[in-house]
Amino acid sequence: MSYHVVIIGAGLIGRLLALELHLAGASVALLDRDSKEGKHSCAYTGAGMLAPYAELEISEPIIAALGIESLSLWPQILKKLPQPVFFQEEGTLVLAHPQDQAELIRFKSSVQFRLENGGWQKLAIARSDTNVMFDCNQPSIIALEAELPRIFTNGIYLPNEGQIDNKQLLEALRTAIEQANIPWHTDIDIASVSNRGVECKHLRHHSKNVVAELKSYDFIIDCRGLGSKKDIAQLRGVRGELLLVEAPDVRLKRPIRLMHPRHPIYIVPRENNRFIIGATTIESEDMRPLTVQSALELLSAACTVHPGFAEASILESRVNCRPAMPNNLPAIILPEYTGSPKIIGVNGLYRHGFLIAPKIANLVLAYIMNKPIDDYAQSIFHKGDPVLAISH
Amino acid sequence: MWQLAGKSLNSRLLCGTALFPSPQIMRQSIIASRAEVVTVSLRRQTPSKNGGSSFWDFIKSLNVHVLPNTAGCRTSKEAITVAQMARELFNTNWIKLEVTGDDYTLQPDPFALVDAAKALITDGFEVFPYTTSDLIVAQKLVDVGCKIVMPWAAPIGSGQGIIDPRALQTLRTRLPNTTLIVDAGIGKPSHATQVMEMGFDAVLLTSAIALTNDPENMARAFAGAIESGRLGFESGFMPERNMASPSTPTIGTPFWHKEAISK
Repeated sequence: MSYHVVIIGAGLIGRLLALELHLAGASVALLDRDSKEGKHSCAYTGAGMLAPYAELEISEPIIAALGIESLSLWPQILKKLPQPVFFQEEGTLVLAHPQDQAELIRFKSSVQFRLENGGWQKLAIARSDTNVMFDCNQPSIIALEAELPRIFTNGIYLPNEGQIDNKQLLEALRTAIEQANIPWHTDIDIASVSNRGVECKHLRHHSKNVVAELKSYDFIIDCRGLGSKKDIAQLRGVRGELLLVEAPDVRLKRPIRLMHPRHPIYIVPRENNRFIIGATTIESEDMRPLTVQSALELLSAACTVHPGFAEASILESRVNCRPAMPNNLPAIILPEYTGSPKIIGVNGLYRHGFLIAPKIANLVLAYIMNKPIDDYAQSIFHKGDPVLAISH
Repeated sequence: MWQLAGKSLNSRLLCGTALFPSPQIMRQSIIASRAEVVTVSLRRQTPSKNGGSSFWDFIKSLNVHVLPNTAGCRTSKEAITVAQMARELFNTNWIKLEVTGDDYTLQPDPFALVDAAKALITDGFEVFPYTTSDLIVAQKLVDVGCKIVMPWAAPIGSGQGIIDPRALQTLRTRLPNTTLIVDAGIGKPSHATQVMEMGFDAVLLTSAIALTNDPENMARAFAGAIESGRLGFESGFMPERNMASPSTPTIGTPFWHKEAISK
């Protein structure tokens, strides 16, 4: 592929696309408002859960389909990276307190309903979808996670799920991109990408290079997340808050989701007794730091899952706003829609970034390279779909 | 057509906007429910403050009356402050007054509720107080000037249906001139039909629609159920009888059959 592709936005999808396009032979450049650490990207805040089946509780089957395919793509991606990234497939355990058993029943029936009625034949998922969800009694919960308190008498285990360390991945992608000598211009604030061209705010030290970069290109891929709000009117932010703690007294092997009628949380283990406790979901684009209310909700719920969290140290709190379309599904916005023959938007990954990014990157590559697109994924390609047109 | 706080409405269903899988499904479901009043939470869906404008745009696009709530408030003072903020932000004097007395069941605190209702009515609000099915609390709310009272059928989000039908029936009988809206606890369309058959003016619900596998169809189901219950109530039910009374003539029935029954 001899294209020159400019990728705007170096979050998770921007970095993945840069690497994959480079490996496919394209000449690639990255532009981003952030530093290479990527602190402002949603991926920096994400927990990195790869839970296609558990997400069926509130997501449409297409998310699960993209997630199942992505789960098998991650190991191939990780092989291309110069640094190790913590990745495991130990499944997910879903729990509820005795007084909230109805939440567990609702979770199961919701997942079951979408597994049975999701039009999976159309989704053409090769992987077997039997044995994806098991009821657990107390002994089987303890067999999975020995330290959990005995109050958890019922649970649901989803074995075919995984997790990835978000920060290690961003770092490893950064090194791979640097080693590939892909030009990466940081601190470039792009205000707008549209058929009127690319508008930059305060071009600083890189201005000459950036102007050269934008002089000739075959494609611009706009991956700015919520930064694209000016160009994609339907995009909104959904605030999420989480905490990183170090808990020497806690040993959990796999992500745990605690169902609760108001404050559902997850606890995701990292290496070295570190855990991510998240995440709130608030319909707001407020970027202020973690609120006391949310911290209380997250931490008190975590302590009921494992009393050892009471002695944990809080290392970090992270807040960001997930970019979402009105249907909460990802959108690959095609030139026919953006109004420019060269601009492709990739956005709306919402709370599913790590879950679906590998497959989304593949789909964008397939589109650029004129390769066939899976039937089931056609609906996320937008040429001017009225689904996106919410009239104000 | 009926009147709710000075507005003429066709639908007797009031719908919440939280808990839906996506704003798009929320929008489609509310359209399917034919609801003309939707509740919004000030705390988490504030239009200009806290950057909730995108979600607010979806709600505005529905062209319905907005009923802001004070969900999450635990004291009357807090609820009054939130109500005043809501009036400015949403440009309405309607307020769904919630003062939580118990964090787990979200059972309302009746004492703080009456206090807050009194203050807000003096301040010019149209107060929609969320309360239990207790008659005296409802009466006190009416005494301080509430024209609308919203008793629960069961604790909020529980979907248990009518846990105390006698209490609800008593409310309806004792407060014939108050607009009574059953708020919270409805799980199935039949629950909504039941309360509408009792003569309640309307039903407010969210979870029973939003937390189902197919919210849009469930919204349609509730629209039908509420309309059925109301039509039934307005038509007047036949009295219950403690014996069978066939609606087809028995003249042709052989007499020995009748005797067999009388034995």
